[in-house]
Amino acid sequence: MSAAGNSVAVGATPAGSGWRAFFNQSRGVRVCSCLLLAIAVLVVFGPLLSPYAIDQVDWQHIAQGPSWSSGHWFGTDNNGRDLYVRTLRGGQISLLVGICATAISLLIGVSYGAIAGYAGGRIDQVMMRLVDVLYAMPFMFFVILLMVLFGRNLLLMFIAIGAINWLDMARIVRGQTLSLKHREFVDAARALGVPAAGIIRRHIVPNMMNVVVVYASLAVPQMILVESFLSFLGLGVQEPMTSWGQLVSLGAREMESAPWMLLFPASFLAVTLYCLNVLGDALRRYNDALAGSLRGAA
Amino acid sequence: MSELLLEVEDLGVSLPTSSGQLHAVDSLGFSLREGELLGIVGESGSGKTQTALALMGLTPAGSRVSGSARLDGEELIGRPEAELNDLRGDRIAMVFQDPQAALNPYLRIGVQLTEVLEQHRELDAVTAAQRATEMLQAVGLDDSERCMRSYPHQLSGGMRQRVTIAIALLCRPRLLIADEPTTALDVTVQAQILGLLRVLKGSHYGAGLLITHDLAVVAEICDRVLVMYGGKPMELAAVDRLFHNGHHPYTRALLRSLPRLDRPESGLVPIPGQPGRPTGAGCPFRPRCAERLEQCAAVVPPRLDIAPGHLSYCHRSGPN
Amino acid sequence: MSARLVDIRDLVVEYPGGSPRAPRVRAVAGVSLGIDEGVTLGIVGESGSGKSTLARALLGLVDIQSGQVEYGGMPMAAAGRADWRRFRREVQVVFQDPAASLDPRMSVARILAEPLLVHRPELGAGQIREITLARLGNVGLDESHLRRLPRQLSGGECQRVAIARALVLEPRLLICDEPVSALDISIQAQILALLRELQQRLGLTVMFIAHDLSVVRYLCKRVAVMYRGSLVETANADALFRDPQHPYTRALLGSVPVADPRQRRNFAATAATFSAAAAGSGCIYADRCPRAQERCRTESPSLERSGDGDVACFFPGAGGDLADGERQR
Repeated sequence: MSAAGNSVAVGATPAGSGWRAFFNQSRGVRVCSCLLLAIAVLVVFGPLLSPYAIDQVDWQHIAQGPSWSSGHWFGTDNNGRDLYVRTLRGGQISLLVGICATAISLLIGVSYGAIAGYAGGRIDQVMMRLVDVLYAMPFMFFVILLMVLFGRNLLLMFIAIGAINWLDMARIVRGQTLSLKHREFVDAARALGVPAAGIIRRHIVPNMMNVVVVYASLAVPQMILVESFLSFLGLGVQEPMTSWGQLVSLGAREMESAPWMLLFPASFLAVTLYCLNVLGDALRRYNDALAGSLRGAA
Repeated sequence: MSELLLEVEDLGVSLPTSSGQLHAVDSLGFSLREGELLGIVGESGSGKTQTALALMGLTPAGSRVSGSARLDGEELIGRPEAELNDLRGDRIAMVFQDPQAALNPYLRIGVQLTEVLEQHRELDAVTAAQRATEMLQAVGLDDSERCMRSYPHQLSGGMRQRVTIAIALLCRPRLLIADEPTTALDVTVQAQILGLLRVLKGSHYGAGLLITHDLAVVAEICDRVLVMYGGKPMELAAVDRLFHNGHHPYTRALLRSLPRLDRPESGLVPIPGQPGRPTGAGCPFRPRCAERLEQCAAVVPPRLDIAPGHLSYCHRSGPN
Repeated sequence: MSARLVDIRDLVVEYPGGSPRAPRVRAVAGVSLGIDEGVTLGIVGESGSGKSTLARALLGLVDIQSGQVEYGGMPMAAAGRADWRRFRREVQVVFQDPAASLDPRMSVARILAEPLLVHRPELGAGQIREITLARLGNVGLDESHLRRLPRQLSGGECQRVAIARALVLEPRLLICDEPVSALDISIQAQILALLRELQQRLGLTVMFIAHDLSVVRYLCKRVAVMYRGSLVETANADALFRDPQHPYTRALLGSVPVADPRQRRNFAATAATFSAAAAGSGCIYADRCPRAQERCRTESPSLERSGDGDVACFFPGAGGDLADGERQR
């Protein structure tokens, strides 16, 4: 007998569904969420606590280690700039790049994938072959080329980095669309005369958001890493702005003489990436549990 | 005078859910004689499938089974898994609803049959193949040689179900449990399978439990009927008595709500409400019962002996 | 004499075969059928009969290989955008799986509002709410259901919402594709009683697809029987159930158990055979028919008038050996 005869569904996990269930999954999830929140708060408000500016040179404390008395809590770099402020402001840029680039890849990927998947047939074939071709290209190469040709513009960087990831997103979204478009409620909408655009917008996309969000959350750390890599090559954001990648790049060169220059930005970067990955994974597990329990609610 | 092949007393199955323990089966008792086919009828949440699983020792992990179920005098509940494994396929066998799911798509039919014989009867390959072929013929698969060599996907739905019945009957089980065996089949194929189950009774299996939601199927081949609702028994009677002298309000309401091929002019009186999970004490059918009384909400209905072999669990005594 | 609302002529619908090289499957192989206004037509058949595909083809959800569909006198092949809009407004559908036919992410209120948003954009939010509530009342639900999601509803409630959605635009034709098969029997009874009441009160024309003959008997005035993509018999319900003409119809009726132990059919445990290769020419039922003659294997009978209905058989009518002698799958 199908599950249709039964009454209300049970929760996602033994603990239920919703925010609480998600955070209760494991201690790791709670710890990482708190850490991430702490970093986010620090990155936004931290610089206000320090009297120094991002490019302010302190001639008396060049390449000095962290000290409380000097007011340089993370130390200074080779040019006497305060590392605390630079690390946190760098964090702002890195996180911004991660989120915006992901948003852009989402926008392009979801539209492209949903249209290809829903249209099917020839259109789908052509669109996906294009994706295949683009996949084969060395994207890094193009990004570097763009950066060199058009200068290191922040907006351009968002777009360029976001453009790397949209291919993955498009593939995933197309797959979801293919399975969703044969579901009965889509047939019902078609029988109602809802136009294709409306079906994609109202029925298909909302029903795949749970999967897309998981991939998006795992894309954010990826984007941050790409930016860091570009910065390492010297193609990241322009001075006086900085990012974790750039700081790591500079710090790596001074590793032996001024280890704090590498230590602080690298730690922040590593911890943030780790927490984002843990949360992204937890989101995927939560999503699977939710889907599984709804199916097995008989 | 046939001995009791199966005797079930006070059977209970409780399952863990997100909202606490659920009594999927509660205080169930019935017996089965040799040569009898008992139909267990119920809707979603009635506990009929959990009853079958409890008898097979296949209830889900974390569940608790209480009470007693004796097969030829031997207790089934609480037996260690190793012993139950020996019994399954040999003395008790089960046929499920979806023949596709019950058969391994990667093995030929012949292998799936001989496997059972080699396990339980320790026969050699040649004898096992012979027995398997005979069994396929017995379930009406005339072209048994071809069938033995085929894969499940090469057979139709009805043929696959015949195969699962063949597998179940290979060791001449004492008890055959069929859980909605024809629900997934076309009506013409259903007729054949029902005919088959009736014909093979006694010769190929001792007694049977037919679990279904379809009262017409029960009327067609069962000797006795047990009606369940919300995990509890409602009424137990010989098939003719249940359909023509039903006592329990649920039984009667159910019969009145069926669309009839033979009585098209009769109106259909649906039972209001949903078949829900049982809540609290008293009779689980109470929320939907048109004849409910005060005590039905709080007190468990007593067992009424309407006539020999006819039991009803209701507060309303006496015939309707 | 009621007007003919739907006229289907020689409809053929094909699907690609299982593998790229496999021949195309004829789900609907040349069906001609008419639905008169105000009549409830039942379409019965077993799996593979093509009844669901027929409904989908009528709704324009699958492509048609050949044949014509006329709605309200207008051929659908020549229909323009405005005609299709009208068609979509006047023809509504209720599917088999109640939970699957509702978008799991939309609340009941939004699900019911959607048809109005598409077809009557001039309505304001207040009017939409009014109509929505009225339809919910029609199907026995109330305001408390508006905010719920499909997963918070039972199967019966979901199906009621699906029916309410179908009624929102006050359709002329309601197509029900096995609307009660997936429900518990006590809920089936509720939905059937609801459908009958709505059909009587609103004067709906209904195309009711089912495999359960007793359900069809309860709701339908006229019945069409399909087998392997073809129509084998149509008749008024009373006539069909009392005196079926086509051997398949007889076999079908002979296979239905009745909820009365005193009316046992005592089905014979006949043998099953591997299905023969797809019949070339000749009647599709020839390999299972107890009356099959040489002619049946070479020529294919067309639908001929027989009383108030049609039969596709060279030897229709009662008499002769039937159901018992039939070979089954």
